[in-house]
Amino acid sequence: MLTTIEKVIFLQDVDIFEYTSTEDLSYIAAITTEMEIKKNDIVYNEGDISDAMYMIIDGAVSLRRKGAEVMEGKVKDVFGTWALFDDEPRVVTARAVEDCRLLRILKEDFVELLGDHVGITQGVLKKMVKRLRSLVGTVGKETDSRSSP
Amino acid sequence: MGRILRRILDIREQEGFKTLFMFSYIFLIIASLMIVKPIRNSYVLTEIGIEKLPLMFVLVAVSSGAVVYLYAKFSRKIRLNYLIFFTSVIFISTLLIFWGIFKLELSGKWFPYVFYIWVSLYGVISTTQFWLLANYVFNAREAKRLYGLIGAGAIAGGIFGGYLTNFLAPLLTSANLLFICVFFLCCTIIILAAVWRNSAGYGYRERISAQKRATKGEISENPFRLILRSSHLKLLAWLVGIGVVVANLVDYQYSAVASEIIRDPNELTAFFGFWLSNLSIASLFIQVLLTGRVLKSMGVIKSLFFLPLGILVGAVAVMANPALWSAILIKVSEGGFKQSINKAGLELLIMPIPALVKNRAKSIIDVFVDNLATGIGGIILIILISVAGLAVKEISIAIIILLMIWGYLVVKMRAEYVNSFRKAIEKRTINIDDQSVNLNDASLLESVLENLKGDNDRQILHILDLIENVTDDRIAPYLQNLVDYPLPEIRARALRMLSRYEKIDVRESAKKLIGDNNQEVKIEAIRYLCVKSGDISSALKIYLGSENPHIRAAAVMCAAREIKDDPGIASRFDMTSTLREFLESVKKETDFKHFRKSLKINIAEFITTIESKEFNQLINELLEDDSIDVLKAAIKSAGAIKAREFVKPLVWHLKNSEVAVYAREALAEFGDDILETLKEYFRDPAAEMKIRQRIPKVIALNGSKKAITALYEFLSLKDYQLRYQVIKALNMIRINYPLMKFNQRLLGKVILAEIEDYYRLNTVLFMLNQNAYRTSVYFLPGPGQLHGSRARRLLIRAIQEKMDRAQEIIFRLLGLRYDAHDIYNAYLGITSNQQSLRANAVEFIDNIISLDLKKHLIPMLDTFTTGSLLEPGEKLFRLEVPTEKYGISLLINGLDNWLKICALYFVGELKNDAYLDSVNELRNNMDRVVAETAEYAFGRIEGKERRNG
Repeated sequence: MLTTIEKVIFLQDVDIFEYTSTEDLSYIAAITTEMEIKKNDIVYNEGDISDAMYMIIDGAVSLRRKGAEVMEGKVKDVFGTWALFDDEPRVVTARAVEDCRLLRILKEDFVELLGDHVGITQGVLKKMVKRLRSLVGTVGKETDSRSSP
Repeated sequence: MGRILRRILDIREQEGFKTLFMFSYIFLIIASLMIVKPIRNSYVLTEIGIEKLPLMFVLVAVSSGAVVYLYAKFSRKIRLNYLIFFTSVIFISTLLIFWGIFKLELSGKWFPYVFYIWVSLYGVISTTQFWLLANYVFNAREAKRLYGLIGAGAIAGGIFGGYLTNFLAPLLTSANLLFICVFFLCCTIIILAAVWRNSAGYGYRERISAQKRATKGEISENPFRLILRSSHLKLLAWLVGIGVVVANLVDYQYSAVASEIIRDPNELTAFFGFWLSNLSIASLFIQVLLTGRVLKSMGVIKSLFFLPLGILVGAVAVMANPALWSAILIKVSEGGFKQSINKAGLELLIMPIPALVKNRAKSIIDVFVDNLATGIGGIILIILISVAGLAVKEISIAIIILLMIWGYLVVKMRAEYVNSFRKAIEKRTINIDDQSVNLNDASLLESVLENLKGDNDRQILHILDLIENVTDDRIAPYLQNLVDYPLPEIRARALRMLSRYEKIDVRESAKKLIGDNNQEVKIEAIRYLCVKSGDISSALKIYLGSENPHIRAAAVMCAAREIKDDPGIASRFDMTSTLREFLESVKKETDFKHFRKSLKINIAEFITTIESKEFNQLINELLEDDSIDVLKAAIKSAGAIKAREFVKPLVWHLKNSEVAVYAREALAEFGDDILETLKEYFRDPAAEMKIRQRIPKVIALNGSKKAITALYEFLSLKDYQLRYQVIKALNMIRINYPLMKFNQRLLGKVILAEIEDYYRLNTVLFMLNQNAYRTSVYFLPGPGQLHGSRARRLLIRAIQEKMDRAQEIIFRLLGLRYDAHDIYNAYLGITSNQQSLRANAVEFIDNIISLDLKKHLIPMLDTFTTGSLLEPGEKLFRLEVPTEKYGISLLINGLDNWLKICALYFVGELKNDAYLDSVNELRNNMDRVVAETAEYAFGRIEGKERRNG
């Protein structure tokens, strides 16, 4: 079992928490649950209710959409992130391709945590804004290159 | 007597003196103006003749434009009280010089020009200064209530000054009247000192900064361009401009006829003084008796015809017979309508324009257009008299032509005005608070009501907001149609508003709506029927006795609201027994726990309204309810009743994020009475951390001196998380109660302590970075990476974060000492990635803080590497770079739990047995994560030892 601080070290590498302070990560670590998944077991199916995000501590997870593999998650990869922020059903099926150890954050716990720790909300929002900015920048460049002769 | 007067005039406690002072101030200023103006007019007319008057208009326009510009520039650099004092002294000195010139007959050809322009400038500057001062003396809410009364002081001063001149000019001669003005101005200086000491001086800096901030948010576009781009504003500027030009022509005719008939200068002064007073009285009467009615019955646009039509009558009279009576007629028509109906109409015309545009455009129209038109008026007169050679009575022809253009502009304005208003409603840019006057306008009301026929829910609700306080029979049919509207909120509001109207009866619809699914509609339907029955109490009793529990519940709520609106009903109605009986009747059907959620909420709201302590047990039960909505209502009730037994459950609810805000507000209702209890909870280490962290904000909501003292006690707390919340709470008080005083000495000490902590953390950080380079066991970092192992990196990052937080705390504390918003902006600059913003912020801080703080703080803000901060740290606090063992021990034995945890983890990774004792002690720490990490570190060190052994 990971200790809280080991979870923090793990969470430091999660993209969405890039701007969250280490102390705030310890609060997130406190709501994570470590779980073991056997090879070929399903973590969630396409169309399921989105209620948690997962991080891979050990093993690998295949993410498939309508049978086709979208990506294979390895150690330190995160999947199901958007479950924390919207209510849309899962768009992929997550299946363990090896015996796995995962960290799970339940949406309900995370939302409650956001209410208590403004710093976490700020960090997550900052990351999202950065993403949005880079997306806008990319779209802008594409539009420019299309419009130029 | 004083109390009765205060009640009639709506003057609240502690407002009496400043209102009296400001009333007297404007009274004296306007009275003095009404003395110098007639003197000026008669002197100039007798000395240089009426033919030079047009030139005077041009000179006044040019000089006041220049002086107002210079004055505005200068006034930003000097404190308002000094500015008013100095200008008053200058005015007094010049008045004495003028008196000397009159007495010693030293006046040359230049003097009438100087005197004329001086009086005009005196009028502009002294009144502008007064309103600037008033803005500092009264806050926005006071201004709304008291400016009417203060304005009456100006009117009274005008009447008094004019009649005084009329009475004294023949007795004392015009020149000696200047002494009375000097006396009045000396009185205003004394009043200024008293007012400034008592009210305006406090928070002056804060208010100036707030204004600067407010203007920062304004649109940066050139105001002239704003006017040119808006046809509405362009027309408005034209209307103002043409009004000023015509006023000049009228003034010329009036002055020319009067000076032609009255030859004695003192008599002429008395004549002008007398008619200035009469004009003020005429304006007052028209304002009180006509303005409201005209606007209500005819609308803004038609009201704008009064002034030109009045002038037309006067102009025709002067043309037919240029006698004193016709000159007075044209002047009274112009002056009387201009300051009353026309002024109100013009003010209303600008209402539909969005506030940010309006503020900038209005100042241009009021100052620039007014001045420009004065100059143009002068030029037109010069052309008419000198070039065209028109006689005084023939000026009326020019006036009539201008009046025709004026009329055309008003007609054009109508379409523009309604169109702008329609746009404002669509974009919701109208401030509801301003609308009570506006919706008295007939033409506007109809166009607004048209929107109620549509099916846009949002727009209908907005219109209902706008007309909420307007009672006008034309509204009723529209409301009647809304009784069947699909959205329940609109149905309910229509019913509520309809209860005010006699002519329309919707009782049949209301009876049906009692069966509505929506509780709010049900309540309003019952309320409507009760109001219409003529005997609210008896009607309510019928519904309270209904067999249907939903109707009974709605009736209970209705009764509660009626009492809130009209406390007189409470005397005819025993609300406590009403609720008791109601509860008993419902309890027969089900126990209280299983009441419907909405019913529980209604009951809680009811108790909030009647504030009866009899139902405390019930509130206690509701405070344990599972539903968040019920909890919120119960918490509000607890706050309204303020029984001590609720304090504990309310404090308990502080930890629940969903209702914490309500619990905080409710606890704040208790005021300072529960301050000691809150302090106990805050200090209690056994209390939940979440609750302890939220208590400072509760204390801050009181904003009292005791609250500040209580929070100050906690500033020395070692727990960083709690201290942070205390500082945040103090910041909150600073923002919400800017006049509150903070103990600066203690604050200085706390800031220095925080700065010292920052420097200390920096030495540890430096040591950790240095050792990472030296130790070969750690991998070499890539670009931008932190040096060392993952544990070292985590510890370094945690320390950096703590230093950032320490910096935030220092700025928060500075915000308690200096202007909070300036400090906040500086903080944003300091934490910005932009080099220039950072440099500007450091420069700003360097300029505002005290020398002692500067010495400690500036090196901290001005350096970018940990190494460069070591020297000032050593010099200022004798801090040296610690050895690794000492530095890590500092963190492990320190009070910051997170740094403790990171240091423990680091020690575990080092497997260094030198820390074993400290680690061992922490294995039973109360904090779960500290204990867990200590256990981990202990295991690692022990394991190594075993391996070594």
